Formats: sequence, structure tokens, C-alpha cells
Amino acid sequence: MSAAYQIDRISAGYGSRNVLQDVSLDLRRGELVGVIGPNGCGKSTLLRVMTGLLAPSGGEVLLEGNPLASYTRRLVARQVAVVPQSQSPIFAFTVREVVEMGRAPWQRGWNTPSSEDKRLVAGALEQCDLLGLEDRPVNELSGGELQRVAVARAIAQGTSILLLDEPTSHLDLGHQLAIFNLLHKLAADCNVAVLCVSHDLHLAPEYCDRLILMGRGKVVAVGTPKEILTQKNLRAIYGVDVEIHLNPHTGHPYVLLTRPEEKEKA
Amino acid sequence: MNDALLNSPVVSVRRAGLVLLGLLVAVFISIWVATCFGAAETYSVTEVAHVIAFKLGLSHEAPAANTMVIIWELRLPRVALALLVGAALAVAGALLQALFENPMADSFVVGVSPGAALGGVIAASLGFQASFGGLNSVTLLAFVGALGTTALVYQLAKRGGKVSVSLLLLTGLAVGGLATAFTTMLLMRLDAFSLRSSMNWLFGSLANHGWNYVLALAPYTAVGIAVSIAFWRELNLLSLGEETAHHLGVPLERTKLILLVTAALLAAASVAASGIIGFVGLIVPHIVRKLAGPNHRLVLTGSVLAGGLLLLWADLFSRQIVMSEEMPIGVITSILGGLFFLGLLARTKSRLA
Repeated sequence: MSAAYQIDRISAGYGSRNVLQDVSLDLRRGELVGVIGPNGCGKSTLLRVMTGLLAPSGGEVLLEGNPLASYTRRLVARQVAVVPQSQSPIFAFTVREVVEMGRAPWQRGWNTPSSEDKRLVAGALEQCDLLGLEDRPVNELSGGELQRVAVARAIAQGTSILLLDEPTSHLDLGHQLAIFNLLHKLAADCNVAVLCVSHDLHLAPEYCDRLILMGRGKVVAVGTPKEILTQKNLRAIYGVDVEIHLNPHTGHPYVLLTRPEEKEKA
Repeated sequence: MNDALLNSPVVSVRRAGLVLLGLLVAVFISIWVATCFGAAETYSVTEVAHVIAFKLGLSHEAPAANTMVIIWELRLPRVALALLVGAALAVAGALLQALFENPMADSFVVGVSPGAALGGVIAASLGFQASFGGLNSVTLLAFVGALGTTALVYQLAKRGGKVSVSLLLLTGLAVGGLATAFTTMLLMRLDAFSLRSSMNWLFGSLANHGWNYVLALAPYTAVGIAVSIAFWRELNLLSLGEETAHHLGVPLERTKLILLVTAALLAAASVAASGIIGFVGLIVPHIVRKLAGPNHRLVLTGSVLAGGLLLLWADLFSRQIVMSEEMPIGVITSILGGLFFLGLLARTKSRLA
């Protein structure tokens, strides 16, 4: 079976500024992949290329074995759901209406939602802890609530591929955990290919099957969280000294930050 | 997951249905008021029905000649034009607001209205006479000016085959500003008589247009409204933001172009017919969203009715308010719109405090 996404040596940028250079990666069904790296390293640009918002200046993006550009927008939206970085809605659609719009790639004409649409929407609302908020206008929600609405909309889309850009950046501890749990379940139980950009060096290594470490527009390393989270890698990419510990319950690595002045004292 | 969760949207659908029904009833009552009452004479519904039936060939007994002239030649075409222009302006406003993700957008922001004004004033100052399909030279050049400005704005805002919405907005304001400057320059050079008639048209008026005018503009308005309503789902997705619409399967560049051309066509038709009638495109979609929610299936159908309704009443006012002379309808809608927005701002402030 071909990879859900296969990205082969792409370069991309804005105007004369090149942001991505020679980036290759693949994404398979049933795995949760985390993309980590410092600000401005090209994580979001990578997502823009993968979703067709930005055409690469070189290289190739294959979706289910075919060039991304060979699909209509609607056909892509039936296979790939995207959770963009935080948005601020203007119009007073309710939470349910916005989540229901995740079904748009499957709907036509004057139709109102089918029973299948309603079932998926209700499921997505429940999974993202939005029950009780369904009739609230989205322009009155907090940043964290909005983020859960965006995740719910993507889940309601019912696609086999899910791409997320920092979906937990505005969430409290409980909801961060819940979203990563949900992503893990989608990959493991529903065979979805999930790629998640994140700055969270606790939860991403805990839940992801693979991590992609990016720096200065390039993929620096790809591997299991244990292979990627090393003192050497993080010093090279983030320029900070950290300690790597293992979660005593699961054996997954996590990052412990140390203050620079304590280093000097020691 | 329970049944209540699956079925609860029914309530809002019913409410929206009631809003549409209410608007429809209000439109019919207003048509009756606007046709029966007026400066010249007051007629009964039977007399109006008699005139219409005779004109449609359903009755062979001719009504009194002056009754026929007042109802059929003066009042009914004016009512029809108010409904058409109001619907076109309101729908154009709703389109542009979704497209720009900005509830303050209307036909001024993409340069449509200033472009139309410039076209109309060019026709007046050249003094050239032409007519095409029942439309005079001012109307024709206003139409050309509106569509031309939009095309120019679109081309100037284009970067590498793509049009960014914020660049479109800024370019529209700049080009609109230029058009307004040239319009003023030309107005200053007109003689007193041409200046007066140009100002009357510029400020908006539904007076002195017969059925040929209504019939000439109806196709543009009908096509524009039909295309807009056909894109209701895309408009909903676009109002969540361009990127989200893209991720949900909307081909952005093609859709934006279609919607922009449609909005320009609608606004151009209305400005050409009746001059610049401000604020209708701004307030009507706003009110409809408040009543029926932001879903464009309802915003658009509701705007067709509420836009026509607003303009019909503004026109009734403009006929009655000053006894000696008719007040331009654009003045009425601008006063209404200005007060409406001040009220809105006052409420917003109190909520922020």
C-alpha cells in the first residue's frame, strides 16, 4: 500500500525568500507523526505545501500515490482534513453549524445534513468535549474552545488523513491530554494518518509514533521519540541545554528544562 | 450521543422560516401601501387590481385614464424598481461581506459604486446621447464604469495568479478614492442644469423610470441573485476564512472571481438605475443575520426581501417628507444607515465596558 502522503525533495517559499529546502517525508495510515522544531523553521510552510495552499518551487507532493495538483479541491477535502492555527471568526455561526461545515466536501445543492452527517457531527462534538456548547456562537468562544471546534470540524470531515498545526497551543492541561489521546486513538483504532505540528515536548514524544525534527527549513532527523529527543539534537536545533528523562510509567522520553544560571553555578 | 442532540437544529430552521415568511408578508403589504397611497390620489385595492387585470388582459373593461396612468405608469414601475434595486444592493453587500470576512464591506469597498458614479458623470459632462435596451447614456456609462473599476481593482490586486482579500480591499479603497476625485472634478465643470440633474442621480432616485427601465435591469438582477444563492454553501465556508474554505474543498481563486463579478454586476445594475444609494448593502444583511442567523441560505433569501422592503419604504418617505420637492432616496437611506450604525456602536461600547 502506498503512503498516504509522500513528499519528495520539496522546496518552497514566499517570493524570493526560500523557507523549505529539499524536504522529504512520508506519512502512513495508522501512525501519529509529530513535527517539532523552533519558530520559523518551516513547519507551517510544510503544512501549507501539503494542503495545496502553497505550490512548491521544486519537488513533488504525492497524495495516495498521485500528485496533489491532480485532484480537485473537493476530492482532496474528502481525503485530508486540516486544523489550521488559531482563527478569529467574524460571523456568529453556532458551534454545531461550524462543525457541520466539516461535512461540506460531501454535500451538494440545497440539501440539509443527512443522518450520516448528523451522526458524525454529534460524535465529533462529543469527542472534543463540546457538548453543552453546541448552540453558542463561535465568535464568543475562548481561544481554547475555538481550537476544539476546529478539531471537531476536522474529525467530522471523516477523512483518512488529518493534518494539525499546533492544535493544543491554547488548551488547558486536561484538554491538551484529551486531544493527544484523541489523535492517538484515531491513528491506532481508525487507521487514520495523523501529522501534528507541536511545540509540546512532553505530550508529542509521549503519544507520537515518530517525530520529525526540523531546523532552518530542513528535516534534521526522523525517528522514534527516543531517537529524536537527545541532548545533542536539542542543543543543535533549539540552542538550549536540556535533560532528557523517561516517563517511569510508559518509558517515553520527555524534556526537562534547566535554567542557564543554575548551569553556571554547577 | 442522544436524540435531542441529533434533532435540536430544527428550532432555528423554524425560526428562520418564520422570518422569511414575515418578510414576504411585509413585502406584499408594502406593495399595497406604495401603490394605493401617494401624493396625487388614494386608490382602493380593487382599483389597483382592476388596472393590473386590464393590463394583463384579464379584464376588458378599461379603468379611468388618469387612474391607469398613475397606477400603471408611475407607481407600479417605481415599486418594482425599488424592490429590484434594494434586493440587488443587499445581496451584493452580503456577498462582499462573506468574501472579505468583514461585516462592514459593501459595494463601495471594491470600487463598484464610485466607478459607477464616475461613469454616469462622464456621460453627463460629455453630454452625449445614446440608448441601448431602454437605458440612457448615463445608465450605460455607469454600468461600464462599475464593472470597469472592479476589473481594474481585481487586476491590480493580483499577485502571481492569486488575489489576496486584504490587498483587494485596500486597492478597492484607493481606486474608489481616485474615481471619487475625478467625479468631483467633472461635477465642478458642469453647467447649473447638468449639475443639478447629475446630483439628483448621484444621490439616488427612483423617480421618472418606466417599465422599460425595470425590464432592462431585471435580467441582471435575477441572474446575480440566482448565482449568489447557488453559492450559499461556499459563502458560508468563505466566511470562516479563506484557508478554512480551501481545506473544506472550495476552489478559492475561481470562486472569489465568480462572486466578485456577481457582486459587481448586481451593484452596477442598481447604481446605474438609481444612482448611489448608500448603506442598504451594509445594513440589510446585518439585520437579516441578526434575525435568522449567519447561514447564507437564509441571509441571501432574506436580503432579497428585506432589501426590497427597506428601499420601498425609503422611497415612500422620500416622496412624502418634503412636500415641495422629492428628497433623494440615497439621503434617506444614509440617514437611516448612519443612525442604525450609531445605535449599533453604542450597544457595542456598553458591552465592552
